[in-house]
Amino acid sequence: MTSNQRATLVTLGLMAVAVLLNSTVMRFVAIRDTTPDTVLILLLFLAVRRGAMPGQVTGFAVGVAEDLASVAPLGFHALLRTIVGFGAGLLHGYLFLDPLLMPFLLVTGVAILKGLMASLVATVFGVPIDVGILDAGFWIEVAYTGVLAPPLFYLLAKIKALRPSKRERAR
Amino acid sequence: MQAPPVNTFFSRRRTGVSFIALVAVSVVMLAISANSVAVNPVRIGQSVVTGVLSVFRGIGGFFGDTWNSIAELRRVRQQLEQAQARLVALEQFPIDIVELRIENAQLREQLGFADTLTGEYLAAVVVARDPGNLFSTITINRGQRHGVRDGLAVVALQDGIQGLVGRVSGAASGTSQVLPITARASFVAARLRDTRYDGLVGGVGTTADMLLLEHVNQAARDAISFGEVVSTSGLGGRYPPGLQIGRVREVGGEAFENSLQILVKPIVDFDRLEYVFVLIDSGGAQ
Repeated sequence: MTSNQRATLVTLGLMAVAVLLNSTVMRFVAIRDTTPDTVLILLLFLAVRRGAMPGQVTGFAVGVAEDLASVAPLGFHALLRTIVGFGAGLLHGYLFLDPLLMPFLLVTGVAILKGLMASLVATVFGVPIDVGILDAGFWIEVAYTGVLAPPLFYLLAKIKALRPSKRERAR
Repeated sequence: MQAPPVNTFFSRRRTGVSFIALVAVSVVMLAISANSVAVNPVRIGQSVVTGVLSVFRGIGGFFGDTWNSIAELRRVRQQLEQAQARLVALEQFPIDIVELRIENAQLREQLGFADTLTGEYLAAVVVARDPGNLFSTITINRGQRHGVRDGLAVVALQDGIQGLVGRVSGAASGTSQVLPITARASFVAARLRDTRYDGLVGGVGTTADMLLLEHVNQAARDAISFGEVVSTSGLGGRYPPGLQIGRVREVGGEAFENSLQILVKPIVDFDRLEYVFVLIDSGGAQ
C-alpha cells in the first residue's frame, strides 16, 4: 500500500468518525444550532498535503456517506466534496501551512466557496436547503469551522500515517 | 505525426479524468434522486434567474427591514411599557399556571404519555441528526420492519403537550429519516384553531426556531390573537387533522398583500427531542 493510499484510508476513517460525531454529540457544542464542518477541515488537510486525486476520491466517498445519512438527495454532498477535494488538491505543493494563519484562511475561504456552490447547486437542481449564504447560520458555520481549523490541523499533523514519507519529503 | 496511445493519454491525465467522472456520477445521482429537471435548459435558466432575484430580494429586504425597524423600535418601546404594567397585574393572579402545567405533565406521565394519542402509533427514539447544517434530518430507531413507511406523521409529547414533529421522508429497514416541520422543504396544511382560518405552514430552517404560516386571508388580521394554537387541517391528506403545530407569535404581512404572514412558535422544542411517536394509523379525525 502506498503512502497516499494509507493516508486516504486513515482520513476516510477519521471522516466517518466526524460524520458520526456531527450526527450525534456535536449538537451539544453547537452555536445557535450550527455545528462546525469538521469533515471539510479533514478533507482540506488531506487534499493540500496529498494532492487532487486523494482529495477528490475521499471527498466523493464522504459526500455519498453524508447524503445517505441525511434527507439530502443522493449526490448533493458528493458533488460539493468532490469539487472541494479536487480544487484544494491543486494547491498541493504550492501552499506553506504555518500553524495558525494559513489553516484558518484556507478553511474559511473554502467554507465560503462551499456555501456559494451549495446555493448554486440547490438552485439549479431545485433542492430546498435550510441554510443559505444570507442566513446567519451560514456565517456562524464559516467562523466556527475556521477557528477550529488550526488546532485540528495541528492534531492531524501528529498522526504518523498522514505525514509524508522520507522520500516524499526529499522530493 | 502519430497520435499518442489512448492509455498514455488517460494515464497522464488520470486526476483530471477521475475528477470529471466523479463529478458526472454525482450530477447524475443528484438529477435522479432530486427528481430534478436539470436536463431542461429553460428550467435551469428560470432557476438561476429566480435564485439571483431572491438574493437581491434578500439584500433589499435587509435594508428595508433596517429602515422599518426604527419606527418599529418606537412602537416596541410603547408595547414594552404596556406589557410591564400588565405583568405587574398578572403577578397578583392567584393561580400559578406554571405549577399547574408541571403537575399536569407529571400526571400524564404516570398515566402513560401514549394515552393521549388515538389510533395506532409506534414509539421511537431519536438516534441521530443531520451531519451538516444544510439540511434538517432526524433519524429514529424504527424502520420498515417495524411498520414505518414514507409519509407517516411523527409527533412528540413534551411537557404534557402533543406537537407535530414532521413526517417520515425515508424509511430504511431498521431506521427512518424524519423531515421536521422546521425544514425549508416542509409544508403542512394548517388551521388556526379558534378563528378557523386555513393556511400553509412552512419551515424557515432549523436555526430560525420559528415557522411561517402563509396564505391566511387578510380578513383574519384582527381576529387572530397572540398565542392562538395552529394545528393540522388535514387538507391534502398528508397529515391527519387536529395535530398541534405551534402557537401564533407575530402577525405580519403588508396591508396591500392578499394574505398574512404569521410567525408560529413550534409546540415541540427540537433541541430536546428524544422520543417521538410515528402515527401508523391516526384513527380518523381527532
